[in-house]
Amino acid sequence: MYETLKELEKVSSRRAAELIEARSGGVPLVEYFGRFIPEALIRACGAGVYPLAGGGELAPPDAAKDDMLGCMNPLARSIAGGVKLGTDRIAGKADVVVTAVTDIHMGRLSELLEFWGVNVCKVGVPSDWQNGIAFGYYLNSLRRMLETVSRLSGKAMDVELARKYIGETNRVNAAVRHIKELRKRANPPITFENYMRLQHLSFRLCDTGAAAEAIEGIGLELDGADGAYPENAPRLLLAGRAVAPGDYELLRLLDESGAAVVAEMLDEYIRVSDVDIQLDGDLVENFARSRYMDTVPIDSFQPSWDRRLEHMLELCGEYGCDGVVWYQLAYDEVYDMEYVCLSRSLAERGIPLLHLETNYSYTPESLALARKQIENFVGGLRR
Amino acid sequence: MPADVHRRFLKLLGWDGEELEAFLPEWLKTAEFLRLTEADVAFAVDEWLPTYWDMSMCGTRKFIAAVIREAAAMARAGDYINAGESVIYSMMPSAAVCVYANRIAGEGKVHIFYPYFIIATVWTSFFGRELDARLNGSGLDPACQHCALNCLRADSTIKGMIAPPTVIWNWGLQCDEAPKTDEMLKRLEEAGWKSVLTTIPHDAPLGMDESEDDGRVSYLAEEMRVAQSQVTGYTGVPVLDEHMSGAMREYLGYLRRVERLTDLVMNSDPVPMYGNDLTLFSLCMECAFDTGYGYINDALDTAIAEVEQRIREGRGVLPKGSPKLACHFSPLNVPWIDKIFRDNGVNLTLGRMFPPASQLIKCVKPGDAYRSAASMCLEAPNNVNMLDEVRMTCGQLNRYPVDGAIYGFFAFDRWIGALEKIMIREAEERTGIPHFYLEGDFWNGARFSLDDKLATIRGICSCLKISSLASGK
Ligand code: SF4
Repeated sequence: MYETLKELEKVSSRRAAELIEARSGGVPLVEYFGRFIPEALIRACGAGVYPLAGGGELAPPDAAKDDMLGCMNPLARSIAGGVKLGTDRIAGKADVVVTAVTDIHMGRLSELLEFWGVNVCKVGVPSDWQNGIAFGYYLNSLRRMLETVSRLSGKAMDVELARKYIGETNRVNAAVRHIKELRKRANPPITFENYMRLQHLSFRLCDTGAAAEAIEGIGLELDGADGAYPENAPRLLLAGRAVAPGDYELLRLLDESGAAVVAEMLDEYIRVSDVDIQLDGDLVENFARSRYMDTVPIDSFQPSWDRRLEHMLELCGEYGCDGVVWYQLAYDEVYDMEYVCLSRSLAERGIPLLHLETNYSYTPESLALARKQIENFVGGLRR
Repeated sequence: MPADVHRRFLKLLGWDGEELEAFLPEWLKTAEFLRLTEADVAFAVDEWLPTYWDMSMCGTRKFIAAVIREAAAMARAGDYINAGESVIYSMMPSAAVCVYANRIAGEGKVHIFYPYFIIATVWTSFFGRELDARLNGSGLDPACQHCALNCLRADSTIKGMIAPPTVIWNWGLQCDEAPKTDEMLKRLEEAGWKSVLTTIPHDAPLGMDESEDDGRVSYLAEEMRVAQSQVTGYTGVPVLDEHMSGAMREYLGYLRRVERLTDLVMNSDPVPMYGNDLTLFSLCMECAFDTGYGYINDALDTAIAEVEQRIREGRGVLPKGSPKLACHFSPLNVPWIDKIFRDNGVNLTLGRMFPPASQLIKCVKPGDAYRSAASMCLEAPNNVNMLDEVRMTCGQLNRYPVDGAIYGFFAFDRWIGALEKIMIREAEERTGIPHFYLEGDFWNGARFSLDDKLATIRGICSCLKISSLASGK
């Protein structure tokens, strides 16, 4: 598994280089952030795509502190800082950066990038998702973004190609669902760290066909694999905004704690694999519907917390979870509010909950503190 | 006699004789509702109000009285509900016109309040009681730097201080936290009130003049219309075009007075009014009072006449030539800030995010009042993208002669404060006016003290005075 992931990592690095090269040959390059942005449809408009990622390292958020308020969440500050420092693989080489404006952190991050001269195209995602007119706003915003990409490439969206890429996205989803099923085993064959690496790689391969093949392959590999955790490990669900590509150290702490993280409810850096995108009719609308209406609402949507709690309880039941880890980004105010509600709801049901907060400063001291917190929590689950 | 101190309070604010005696029982109930003790009221009368407010101005006293009347009306919200009337609560910032139209349409059967904003203002501005985000009663993590206004909302609801309304009209024009506080409280309190949300994503391209963008204006107008139809579903009172037009007329009457007062104060040397007082008069730019515009307009007319008189007499709150510092935040919730500047020879002016009354007035077009209301919302500097805000800010700074501008009391606010440092650099570059940053939290005075800020404020004042001398003022 580790070797396969390493190999995929190399492929993804090569892919970034190929995209940059293709750009010099006239294929525009689009960097994008957020589950509300359709990589498949952007590619069908004749552009290369690369996920805008950040988080998990301290230097980037620090680099943004002269420009951005210190109490923005560290993910937004990381992405901004990554662009400023040029640590992002594609930094400065994309023709346009597409962001989904789901909340003020993303809104202000997008403005900051624009202010620095990055060509940003924002997709507005209204939080009042049950309001009849809000879906139209998101859909129109998506269409405008795709027109922008088409203007860059000089090509209208190739509908057949779009259908193919969306079909591949559905294959990725099916492959992810298969791995999720395997995580329901008494001893899941994949650690949470590797699972999240795979999730992140599925975007960084920048090619839905390649991602589908890779995840299907790993799924087959895992079918016959032994459990990755100690026997009878307590089972955990992890929830929060995002596990970032730089968070692996923390995930390792969880994996080494003697508990198994078998399920997750995250809003970003994760495949929305519970729903497939319809292949007939208006593909842009189908995509929009799959992200906006047909899946579990993200935290900033209003209302969302009842539905999210329901989903979390369903997951706890399906995956046999003994406890929940709430992964909180520092200063992420709306997630902190959801946590307040969640802690009451879970306490009423006798489900243990751990609040694990990060500002991405993974110093030996902060990691030691996190280790202690996790160990105490897992120890409590065992008793 | 216990009522004595309350009588003194009312007298200070202009009540007298029979009118005072008639209002006293209501004020006593209001003080109880506001959790104000006799000691609190005595402190306000003897120390806080005379120290931080220009109580020699009848207009100021009348405006404070208008806010107190509004608080008194709000204390009756439970009675209104029990009597079968409807109560709408709303949040700051909102489109005041939309909310007020419900009051007009209801003809006395629909009441509109901004309870948390009014409580916060009364406590911090008039009674010296600090809001403290740590005391939120809800379990919100204080280290997360939640907005103290939202914490007050959580706390007051959880403690049962505020009667549940018929419906809450939430506005997501700036932050996410304010509307989400409603969802949090519904979950925690299992409250049965209804809520409605008006919002628009912050996705305009940087630099877009949002109030001129047809797409944004139309969408926000539609959001307002949809929200209104939901509100009507709960109150049973339809809001017709005539009610919207009536609300717009009243709002414009108020705005014109604010503009007149601002023009007078800002163009005078010496400056005839305290910064706190000037800010106070613009309190209703993004909210409306259930007690209507009568009291506040009367207060404004009085203040305008008094300021005109002071200008004729050449009287100011500081000597002629004292520097003027445009204040981006609302200083009235931490009123000692204004006084410290004044004590150091500098006038704090403008306040409340540079209220562009004149620009708002320009947004009103004949026809659809929702479009005008939406356009006004998108002409409020804090609601829009950073460079659009800079455009408006520079408009204000160029319109009035000021020696500097000060920002920074939104250091907790992930929307307004997020890019403030860049905004300042940009506005300074465009106007050539020196800009200063004083970090703080205008709701939550508990986060810092006079000692924390004194050295910085003195430094800013010295800098302004030296540049005034250098420019030969
Ligand atoms: S965070 Fe800002 S916009 Fe939101 S309620 Fe507080 S002061 Fe108002």
